[in-house]
Amino acid sequence: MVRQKRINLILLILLSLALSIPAAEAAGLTEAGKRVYKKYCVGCHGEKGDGKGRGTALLVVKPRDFTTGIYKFKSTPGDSLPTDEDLMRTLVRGLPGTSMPSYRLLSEVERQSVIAYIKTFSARWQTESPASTVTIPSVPGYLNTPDSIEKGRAIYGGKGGCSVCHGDRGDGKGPLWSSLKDTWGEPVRPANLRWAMFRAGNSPQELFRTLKAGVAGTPMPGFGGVLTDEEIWHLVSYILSLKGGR
Amino acid sequence: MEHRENIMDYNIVKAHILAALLFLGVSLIAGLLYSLQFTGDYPFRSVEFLSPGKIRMLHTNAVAYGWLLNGLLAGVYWVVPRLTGYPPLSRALSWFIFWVLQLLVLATAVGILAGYAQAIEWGETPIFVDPFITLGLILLAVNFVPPIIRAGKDAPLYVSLWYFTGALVWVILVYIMGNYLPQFFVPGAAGAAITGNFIHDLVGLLVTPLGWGLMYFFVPIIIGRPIWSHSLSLMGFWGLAFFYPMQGLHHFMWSPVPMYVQYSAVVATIAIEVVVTTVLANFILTLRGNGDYLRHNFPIRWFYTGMIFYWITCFQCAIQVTLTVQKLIHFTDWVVGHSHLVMFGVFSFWIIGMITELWPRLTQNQWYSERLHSWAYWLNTLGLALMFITLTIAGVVQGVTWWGLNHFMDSVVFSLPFWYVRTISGLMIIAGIAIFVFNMWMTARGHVRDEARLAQEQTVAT
Amino acid sequence: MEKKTLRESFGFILLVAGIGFFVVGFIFQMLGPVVFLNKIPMKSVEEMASRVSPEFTLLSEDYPEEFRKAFGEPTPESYAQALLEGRDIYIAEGCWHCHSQYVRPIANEPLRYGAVSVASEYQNELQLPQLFGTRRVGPDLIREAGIRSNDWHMQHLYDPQSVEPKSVMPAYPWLFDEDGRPTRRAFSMVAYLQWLGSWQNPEEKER
Repeated sequence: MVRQKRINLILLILLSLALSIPAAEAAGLTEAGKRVYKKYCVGCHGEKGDGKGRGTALLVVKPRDFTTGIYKFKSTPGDSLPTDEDLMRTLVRGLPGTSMPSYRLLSEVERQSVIAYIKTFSARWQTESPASTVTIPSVPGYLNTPDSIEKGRAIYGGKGGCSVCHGDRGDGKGPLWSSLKDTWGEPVRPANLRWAMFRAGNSPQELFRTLKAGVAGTPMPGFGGVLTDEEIWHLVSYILSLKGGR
Repeated sequence: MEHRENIMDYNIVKAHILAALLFLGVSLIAGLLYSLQFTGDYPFRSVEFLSPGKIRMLHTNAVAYGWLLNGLLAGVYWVVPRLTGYPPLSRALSWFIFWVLQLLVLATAVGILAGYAQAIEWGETPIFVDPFITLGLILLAVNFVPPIIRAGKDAPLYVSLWYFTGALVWVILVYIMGNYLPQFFVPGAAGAAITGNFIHDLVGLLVTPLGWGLMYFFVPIIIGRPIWSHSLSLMGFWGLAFFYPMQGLHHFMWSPVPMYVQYSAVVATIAIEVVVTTVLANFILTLRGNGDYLRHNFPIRWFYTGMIFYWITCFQCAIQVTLTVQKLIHFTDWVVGHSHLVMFGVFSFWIIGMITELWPRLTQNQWYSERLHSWAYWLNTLGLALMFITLTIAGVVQGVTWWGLNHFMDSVVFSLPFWYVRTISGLMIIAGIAIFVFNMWMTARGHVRDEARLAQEQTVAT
Repeated sequence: MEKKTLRESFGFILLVAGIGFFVVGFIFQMLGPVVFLNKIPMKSVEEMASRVSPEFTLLSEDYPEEFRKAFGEPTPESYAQALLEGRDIYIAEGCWHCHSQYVRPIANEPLRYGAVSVASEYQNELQLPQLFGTRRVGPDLIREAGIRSNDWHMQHLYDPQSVEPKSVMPAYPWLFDEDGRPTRRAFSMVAYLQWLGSWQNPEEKER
């Protein structure tokens, strides 16, 4: 593993060298990314990157449409473009609960190149750059304490308004659950918080990030402007306490 | 000699040969179809009963029970009366067994295609066919044991008959063990210990002893001199009998089966390689000074090519069975190449050689064409060698991509060129068999191609 | 007349080579594991299905109408049925010839698939007969539960190349109806695939 890491490091250095010589090398990277895309991604996300590949008929969560530049799981707020790290994270971990598998066994270069290629699908990447990412403070000492969980419960039912979609029990069956649609007009389901299989990650920091930045393209808003960091941590405590229930 | 004509039933030998060739055809076509799935050209994509997974089972079961068992039994029906001087128990029983065998192979094929396969490798025969096969195997022993006992009363048994005796008993035990215990009584890892042994014993305790039994009969008779060493024959037989039932678990190395079983399977497998080398030395020394037979005598050529392949197989086995090599090649196409080398390169070659020897006697005709024999031989040998080599390399490539933690699809994408070559090698084998069968057909109809004259004309022309 | 020796007589060969050696091999190589592993209690399907997996419940939400038609509600009883029928399809279609079901402690397999297989995982009714497998044309499946989603499996069974462009897996459209919607057989198959390894803690898994 150490050797693997060292190789990865060398590759990364080479890659950053490559990236520092803009025009020609970037084109090479995109070209390499196209091959990776054709080998692994084209089935669902389609030749044009519009999420209308051959294999979408039976998929419940439809594949991402890259042409809009809107990505769900990222560290930037609102509809802003994601950072490369966000895309890399999704590639490495996959999105549990959706048909997006993990590509952690691809090489770093392959992943970098396919990210470069994906960016060619939307013109937004030429004109915009990702907004600044939400800051995630270090995990506070009161996380998961009974007091924090109680406060989180209050925010969940009250100020946060979570139960409208995620339900009083956190089972994803709130009053609105069956009528929700995403930006593309496809039905979306609120997460079942009791299963603790979160698409953007299960750790407290990752939950914090999702709560603060929101899930773009879906009715799940970012709470960065509504709740303070402390309130979001209480909410995280409460959500983590739901785990394992049915 | 009149006595001998009376105890021989030529028709049953012929019937078994024809049935064997029929099922060989089925399994070759099934194998070709299955290989097309790997290159993305499978023609029956949405036909449920021709699903590629079922075609694979059809391929292996048609080979094991349709082709090898029929072909070897043809030889046993020829050899046993000649060696013992007595016919099998009953001619009616022989024919009954013949028809039961064909019916059971057909029932197995239909059962597999209809989705009733049993999850035991080489024993995918549906559960409702198993009891009948067991009965059939018992009947087979009942048919052949009497002449062997009678012959054994007044003289020591010849080597071939040791092997036949062993095979007739082993196959019943092996079949009962492999098809019932893991299906109904023994789950999981312990069940794997049993099925692993079943996979191997079906080859090692049925096909191998019958095959060697035939070799010990046909080779000395064709060459016209006895087997070089009786002691080596003894060593070969008892070594096989002792070590074979202990090595089947090498199919599940590094599995949750207790490690002592895995270690001992490795030791037994390497031991059998030593035994095999003595047997092979015995046969090579029998041929010593008569190397010309390899050029002019087609049965001998098939037999000895098969033996060389057998030695390669066993040598390869002794290496690949070690826990070290298993890390790389287990679950890869390497193993598929290995099994084709055994099942086709050894036992099928022997059966083809035996048919080459017997067919003129059965039809009372001279072979139609020697040149076609040559074509069949080279197409089969080169086709098989190509298949073996390409699958072996593919196996290493797959093992390396897995070990190197490449994305899984890499092992598929990198294998594609090898899979194309595999299909081509399969086509070569099919062409070789087709030529052989055409030759048989013309021979049966009494045609003879005067090749001595043709060759003479050719030399005159040049 | 040649001298008759014991080792070349029918009875000796039959009893010693035919039966004796075979029994020795059987006791050493097969009865041993059977006796040792017998200490692990054998689990029935009902026992294993008593807790319905999240994936099976999700199936009823992913394809509500089709699921209701096929299995009604995701109860322990229907889950047990689905597991049995899925296992039967797995056998009948020969899935086990191209997918293995055990992770070896070597060749980086724990890194690729997850925890190394142990004997107790296989001491149950769904491993009767065992499905260790023989070749890995496709990946090992014993840690499959929860790695991929239900809908990925459905789409992949219906048309593998549509989600995995370079795959060589055959399509199984007969598990679906004329409109390409899942039938009882497809639900069983996916339930079985999502059962493989479901006894493991999901947090230990990664792919």
